[in-house]
Amino acid sequence: MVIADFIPKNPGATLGFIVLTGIAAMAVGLLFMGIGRKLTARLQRRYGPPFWQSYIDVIKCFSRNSISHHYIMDLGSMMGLAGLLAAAMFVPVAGHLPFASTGPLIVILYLMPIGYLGMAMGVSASGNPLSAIGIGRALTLMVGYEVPFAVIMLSMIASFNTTGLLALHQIQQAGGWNLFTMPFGFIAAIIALQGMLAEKPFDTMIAPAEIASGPMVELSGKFLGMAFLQHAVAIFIETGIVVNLFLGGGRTIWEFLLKQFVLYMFAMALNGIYARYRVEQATRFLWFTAGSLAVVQLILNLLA
Amino acid sequence: MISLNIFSVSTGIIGVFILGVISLAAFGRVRKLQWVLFSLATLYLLFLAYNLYGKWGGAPEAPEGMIFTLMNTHLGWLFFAFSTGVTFLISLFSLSYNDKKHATGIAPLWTILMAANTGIFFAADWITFIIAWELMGWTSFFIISHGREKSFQAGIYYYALSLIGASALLAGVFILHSITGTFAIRESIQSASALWSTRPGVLYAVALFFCTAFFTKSAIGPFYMWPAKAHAEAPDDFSAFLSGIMIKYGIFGLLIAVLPLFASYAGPAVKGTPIFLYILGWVGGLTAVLGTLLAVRENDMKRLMAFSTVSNVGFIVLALSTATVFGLAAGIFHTFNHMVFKAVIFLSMASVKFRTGERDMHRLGGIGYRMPIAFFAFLLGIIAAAGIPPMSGFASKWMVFQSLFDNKLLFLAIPAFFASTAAFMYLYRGLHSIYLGQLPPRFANIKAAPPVQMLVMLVLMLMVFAVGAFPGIVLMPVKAALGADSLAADFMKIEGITSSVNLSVVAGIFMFAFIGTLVLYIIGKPRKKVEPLDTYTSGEDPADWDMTPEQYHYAYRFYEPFEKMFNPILEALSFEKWFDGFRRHIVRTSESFGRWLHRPGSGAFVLTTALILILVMGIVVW
Repeated sequence: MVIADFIPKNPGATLGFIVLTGIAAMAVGLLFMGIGRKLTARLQRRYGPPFWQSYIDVIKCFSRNSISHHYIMDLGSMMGLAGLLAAAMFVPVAGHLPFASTGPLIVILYLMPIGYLGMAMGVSASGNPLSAIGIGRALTLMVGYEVPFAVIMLSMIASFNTTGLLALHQIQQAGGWNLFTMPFGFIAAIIALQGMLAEKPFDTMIAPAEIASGPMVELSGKFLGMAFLQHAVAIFIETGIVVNLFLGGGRTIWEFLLKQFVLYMFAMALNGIYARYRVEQATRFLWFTAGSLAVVQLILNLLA
Repeated sequence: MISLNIFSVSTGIIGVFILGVISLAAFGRVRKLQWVLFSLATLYLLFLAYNLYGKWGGAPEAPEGMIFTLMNTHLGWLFFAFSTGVTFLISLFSLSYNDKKHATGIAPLWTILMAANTGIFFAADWITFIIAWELMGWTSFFIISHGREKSFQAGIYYYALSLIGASALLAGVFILHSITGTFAIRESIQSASALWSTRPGVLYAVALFFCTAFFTKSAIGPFYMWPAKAHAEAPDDFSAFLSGIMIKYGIFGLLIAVLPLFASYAGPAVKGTPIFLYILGWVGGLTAVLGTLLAVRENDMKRLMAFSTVSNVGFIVLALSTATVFGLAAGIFHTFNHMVFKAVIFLSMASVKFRTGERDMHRLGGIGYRMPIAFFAFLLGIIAAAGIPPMSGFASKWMVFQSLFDNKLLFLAIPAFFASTAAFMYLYRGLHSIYLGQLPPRFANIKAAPPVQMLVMLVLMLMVFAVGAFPGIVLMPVKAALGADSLAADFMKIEGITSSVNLSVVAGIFMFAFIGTLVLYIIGKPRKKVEPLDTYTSGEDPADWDMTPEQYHYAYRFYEPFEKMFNPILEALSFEKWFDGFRRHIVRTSESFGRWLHRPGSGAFVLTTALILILVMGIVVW
């Protein structure tokens, strides 16, 4: 009986949906990245690349020469993308999921780190100190944004007693967006999202001018391509979480994607106008500003 | 009448104890044999565990005047079985580890310690418990010291704290006896817990004494600092035992003595949790945070993992403090997971030390290229320790969080999330600094770990992964031991209050995604392999600046920005300093008292006073 639960009723279709979700997550993320680059260029009064540039980049990366220092590096790159893809399978898109699950937020938040750990392992094996510095900063920053984000999750529990994104989506479809009922939490989430996406002012881990793009410094060819894809999936997941938590999730897939797009463009606009924090400044800002906003929201939700 | 199963437990304890003593006395010159005997002893205990399964109960109608009673409780059996199983694997590792160069003479003492281990988990009365507890305390002290000056210092520190704990335990037991009139563990706690309405003060005192005893053993709260000393200085294979198993005795104590005390509690409570347990929860949460912060700035790999243990024990206490069935299951589940993954982490590091002799992480680096099995053991161990699926730690950490949500202890979840996330920092630091990065030339020719060590690590890795994909392997026995029918968990799935998770699906999805990325990897143009030093350096050649791989390995003060943020707080909060000041005061007082005693005249005065006191007491007693 237990085994029967594990095997879906229609394995072929489920498998197809899983593959489709993975490809869609990558495609959507890359599209957003391309448009985001265009937006940044226009903010800087450049013409900018076409919006499909990211697709070209990835295809090009996979067809070019690449170097690797050790098979651990290969393994790390694969683990990195796999962790993010696995997390993407749990994000409900307008209530749709590739297979039956509740969209458990904690699972998503803990599946993403296996991607980052894989990435970190891979670039560590390259032996370049700059990449290790970048990873060190990335993990410090992660403590910065995960804590406010966890508090936001706690305020959801306080109000709705669930951590399932699917349930939150349904609640909001019936009763209005959380954005209006939990404004402080939303602002905290936006700040934390900026950290998650590693956009300015929280891009200290990439910092091209200081540490030569940090974790990516040693990546070439298909390894860089995988890093691109990883970032694309990360964009899809992170904006998807915030849409499901605060923006009502969306009735149709297109509505959902539009909301994700708006969130990402907002993040890119902020990225275009801010300078970079040092890592301890960034972490402190995330704790004190986003964290206190989130705690205020938690207290309000507990009192309500 | 003594039932047969209990008879076999006592033969287990006494037999293993005698075996240890014989091994200590007779085979001092044949250390290999001592290790074999130790392995056999643990194997025998494992066999005993297999035999005892299902034969619950003990000797409740013990003959009048019989002091030492044993009982086979389901929970005690579970702890016994897990601890013995992991110790058996460690003992196999030790067989290989203790070659001519690395041999330590700790095997017989460790054998005696295993007898004490059995006694603690099967004790039915406080006297047996205390005797086993003390036996465990002093054998472990001698093992930690193992004849080295620096280790002896750490051992003394550990033993001093153990003494505080043992005295507190004695005090608690005596109070308990005076109010209930029995030494039987279960009955005394049960009848005491009925006294909340009449004598709450006494019960708080008992709970406080017990907590002190178990906190010292499990390094909770103000006693967080001894593992960093003792685990680091102990023999490398014993560190795995210390960190994996010995630290859990306090947890077991909390489970059998402190939590049941609050079974029929009626008094001030926070959201249904008794105020004492609520404070206990905060102590656990802050211990988790403190252990994490201290681990992040550690450069010695064994100290780093010792602080990680402190942090994990904090997690366990956090879960136990909820005192719900779900919370207890979460805490016990995490206890057993921690046994396994911390053992694999410590054994992997022991293998590295076996080959390199180094403990400072910045002097290592790139070892994973030469010792792949040790690397993967460490990798799987840290994935579990970080609580990332698909390894075992995730399931139990998830349950810990759910138990907090269940009781609406939301603010208590914030330190837990902080500790859990910041754990990635120090765990990754270990992975990078020891196993990845640049390989120093002096380690270029080290060999992989010996086959037996590899085998043990592989078995433990398999356990970590299997429990991660099928949590029921451990959770079902835990559920049975607690008699928790309300716990909705089967072989793969756990139902929490706010969400449910099917770990097998999570693991399956990850595997599937990995296959997908593997396909992408194969599609891409084949890569070229280059030398580790051949990295991007803005066109400069590191050789031009006489840069060696050692210098090129970024490991020392890895998280300097983070350290800068927290160092002032940690310095201000250091309990170690406080204890040190306390120690200095005691030394000063006792020295001045000693000097006073040595003065001619005062000696005679003391002698006379003592004689009078003895006389008076004798008369009073008589």
